[in-house]
Amino acid sequence: MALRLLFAVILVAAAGSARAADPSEALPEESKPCLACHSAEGAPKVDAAAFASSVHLALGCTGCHAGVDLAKHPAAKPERVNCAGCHADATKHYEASIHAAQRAKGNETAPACATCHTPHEVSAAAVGEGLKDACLGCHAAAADTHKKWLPNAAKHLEVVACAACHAPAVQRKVDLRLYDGGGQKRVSEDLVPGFAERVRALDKQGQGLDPAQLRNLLDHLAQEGKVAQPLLIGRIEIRNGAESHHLAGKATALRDCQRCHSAGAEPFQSVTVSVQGADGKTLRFEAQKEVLSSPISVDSVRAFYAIGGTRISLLDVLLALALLAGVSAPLVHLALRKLLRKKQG
Amino acid sequence: MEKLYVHPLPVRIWHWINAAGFIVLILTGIQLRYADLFHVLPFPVTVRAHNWVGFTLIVNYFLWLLFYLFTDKIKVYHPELDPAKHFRNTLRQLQYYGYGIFKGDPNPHHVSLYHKFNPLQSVAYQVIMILLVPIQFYTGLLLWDLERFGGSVALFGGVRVVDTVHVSLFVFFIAFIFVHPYLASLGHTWSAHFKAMLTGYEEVD
Ligand code: HEC
Ligand code: HEC
Ligand code: HEC
Ligand code: HEC
Ligand code: HEC
Ligand code: HEC
Ligand code: HEC
Ligand code: HEM
Repeated sequence: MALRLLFAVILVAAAGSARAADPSEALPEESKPCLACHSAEGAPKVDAAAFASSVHLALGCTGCHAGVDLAKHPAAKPERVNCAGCHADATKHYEASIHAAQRAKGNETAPACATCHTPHEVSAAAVGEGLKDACLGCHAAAADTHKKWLPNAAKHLEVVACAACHAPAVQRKVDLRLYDGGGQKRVSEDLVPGFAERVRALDKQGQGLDPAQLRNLLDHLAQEGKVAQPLLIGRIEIRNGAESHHLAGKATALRDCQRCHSAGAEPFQSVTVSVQGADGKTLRFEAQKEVLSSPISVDSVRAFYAIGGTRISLLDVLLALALLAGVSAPLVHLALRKLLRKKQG
Repeated sequence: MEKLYVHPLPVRIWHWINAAGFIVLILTGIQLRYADLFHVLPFPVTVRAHNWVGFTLIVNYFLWLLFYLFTDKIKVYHPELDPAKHFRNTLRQLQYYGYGIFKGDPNPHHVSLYHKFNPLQSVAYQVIMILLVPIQFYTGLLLWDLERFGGSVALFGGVRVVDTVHVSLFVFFIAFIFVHPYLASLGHTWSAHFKAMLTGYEEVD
């Protein structure tokens, strides 16, 4: 099983660099006969272009649909695809989820792997809103039911992955995604060649970008001018993506606001900065957790702030001083008045 | 002693609603920011309380604004147009609070119908009411619904900037809430101005 995945990873990695301008050109040879029928009338259609830009391109059709004998096909139907062979970790957590439990009970409306990950267009998990839309496709009412108890519900559903609340045992983190033009579009590696090298050059000790280095990075991008108004938009995600499948019933969902909205809250202890890789996968770079609370970051992390949880420590000091001054100035003034008046008789 | 009607009813109503509201906003605001240190109400309840009191004060603010805009009472806020004179008056007032008051000197400012504020008050109240309070309301409104006001939040510079401004002004108001009543207690008796803010009448010689 592990060997099969290793082989597949090597294939995918090799294909990543060789990706051609016309994506369907890049299909492995043994897939071409399949598509000759499966992109024409008379056979169930597969969108070749979409498949070519999916993470599974290099596997080809037969990577998943093993054992199709072209001599007997289509009369002989291929076996059902088994994702588990290559994705043991995700499968393990999925098997423990409410969805798997529902399917085991015979509820066919609960999703299997390919329901959430449209099988021929699987993109890297952290790309876009596709997966969230998949959840809301079945749980359309959720957008409204959360409003009943969660202020700013629409915003929460946007900046907190569903699983961050619905897979209660997981560890969370913040991913600061780099966007272009005031949050219009995620920045991909093609637009900022050398991004990874620059991050590594800034973060010499390899301890993650500190607030000054992060600001430096954004200033540089802005100067370079390829990204119009670079913007980091934060999102609470699951540290180990496979654990996102560990969805439980609503009774155990995260409802306690202070799990996020208080100092030292767990999601803010781990931070990454990400751009979209050329191969469709997400490139993440470690950042120090101080980027969420340093006064230096007011500008660089301006589009992410969770009250209580990511507060700027300098303001706490100012607040304490204001309180002290507010209380003591009147007291001192009062004391002086009493004292000096007494002296004058 | 003569009695002057300096605080008309709408101003008094505005003022005490505002004062009570500010105190609630400061207390709930502290809990929202320091939920780990102060935990009096459940967090979502605190959010809702803070929001609704905020809305009440926004509506209440217009009571104050419209009253002054549509009556001749706005003269109490008219600036002294001669800058040299204004500067001199301000200095005298500062000198009084920082020195003269300790010797028992009389207050250089004399209340009259259209001069209820000393030059320090007049400037401070205007900055507070026309600049600081509206900015506090606006940033609060944006934080109330980040999705609906997404465009305005972005124009303002992002949610972190909105929040930083909101908290910075909050810091100022915390100091204000102690200093302002103290200054108001420096009338000819400590309670004179408080009574005036309740009854409307200030006693003058
Ligand atoms: C000669 C044309 C042709 C070629 C070549 C071909 N297929 Fe098919 N395939 C079909 C047709 C027609 C059906 C629909 C059969 C049906 O609905 O009964 C089908 C059905 C399928 C199905 C769905 C089976 C099901 O359970 O409904 C899969 C999966 C599939 N093909 C995979 C492949 C793969 C992988 C290849 C290449 C190795 C391939 N096919 C090559 C014509 C073709
Ligand atoms: C990541 C694994 C994967 C790869 C790679 C893959 N498929 Fe599939 N395919 C699936 C899954 C999952 C289904 C849903 C049915 C099932 O569970 O077996 C499916 C279903 C199909 C069907 C039936 C669709 C229908 O509408 O009934 C066809 C035809 C098919 N695949 C053809 C292809 C072809 C052609 C390729 C190569 C271009 C390909 N597949 C590559 C996973 C894959
Ligand atoms: C209920 C919808 C749903 C189902 C069913 C589902 N997934 Fe996922 N999957 C997700 C989501 C959401 C993520 C995104 C996690 C993230 O943001 O990193 C994900 C991520 C993944 C990843 C990437 C994990 C990583 O390391 O980042 C893999 C691999 C994966 N799924 C495979 C599977 C397999 C295999 C199955 C079936 C056993 C499956 N998924 C079933 C929703 C689903
Ligand atoms: C033959 C092995 C193989 C099979 C079968 C397979 N995959 Fe994959 N899958 C891969 C490889 C290889 C990658 C790329 C992993 C990488 O680059 O780290 C991948 C990537 C993914 C990703 C993106 C992971 C990420 O990090 O974001 C998802 C989601 C995914 N697969 C889901 C599925 C689903 C759902 C199925 C079943 C329909 C499936 N895979 C079947 C090998 C396979
Ligand atoms: C194909 C439809 C489908 C998709 C897609 C889907 N679900 Fe579900 N989900 C179900 C069904 C069916 C149930 C069990 C019945 C129920 O409680 O509604 C369920 C149950 C749940 C529950 C438990 C609800 C409760 O009442 O306790 C949660 C939480 C949940 N899903 C979250 C998600 C998330 C998060 C995603 C996306 C990653 C997702 N679902 C995607 C169909 C779906
Ligand atoms: C901030 C945490 C949080 C986030 C983010 C979140 N949920 Fe929930 N969700 C909950 C809690 C808590 C409940 C239980 C509410 C109750 O019992 O009244 C719940 C209930 C549900 C239910 C049960 C039925 C219902 O509507 O009450 C579903 C389905 C669901 N959520 C789906 C989702 C999906 C899909 C997403 C992502 C788009 C999501 N949730 C994001 C916390 C969250
Ligand atoms: C899983 C973590 C999480 C939980 C649980 C959570 N929130 Fe949030 N909340 C966030 C994040 C992240 C933001 C920041 C949004 C942004 O940056 O745009 C946010 C934003 C907010 C805001 C808008 C002001 C701001 O901080 O930007 C309010 C108000 C809020 N949450 C209230 C609540 C309440 C009340 C609860 C409990 C009922 C709750 N949240 C539960 C993560 C969470
Ligand atoms: C933080 C919220 C508060 C704000 C923004 C505020 C603002 C003001 C303003 C603008 C005035 C002038 C009124 C006018 O336009 O005619 C005023 C007057 C006054 N305020 Fe407040 N106030 C607040 C809270 C308080 C509190 C808590 C007290 C007492 C406990 C108080 C006591 C007074 C008094 C006595 C006056 C009379 C005028 C004076 O001599 O200063 N205020 N206040």
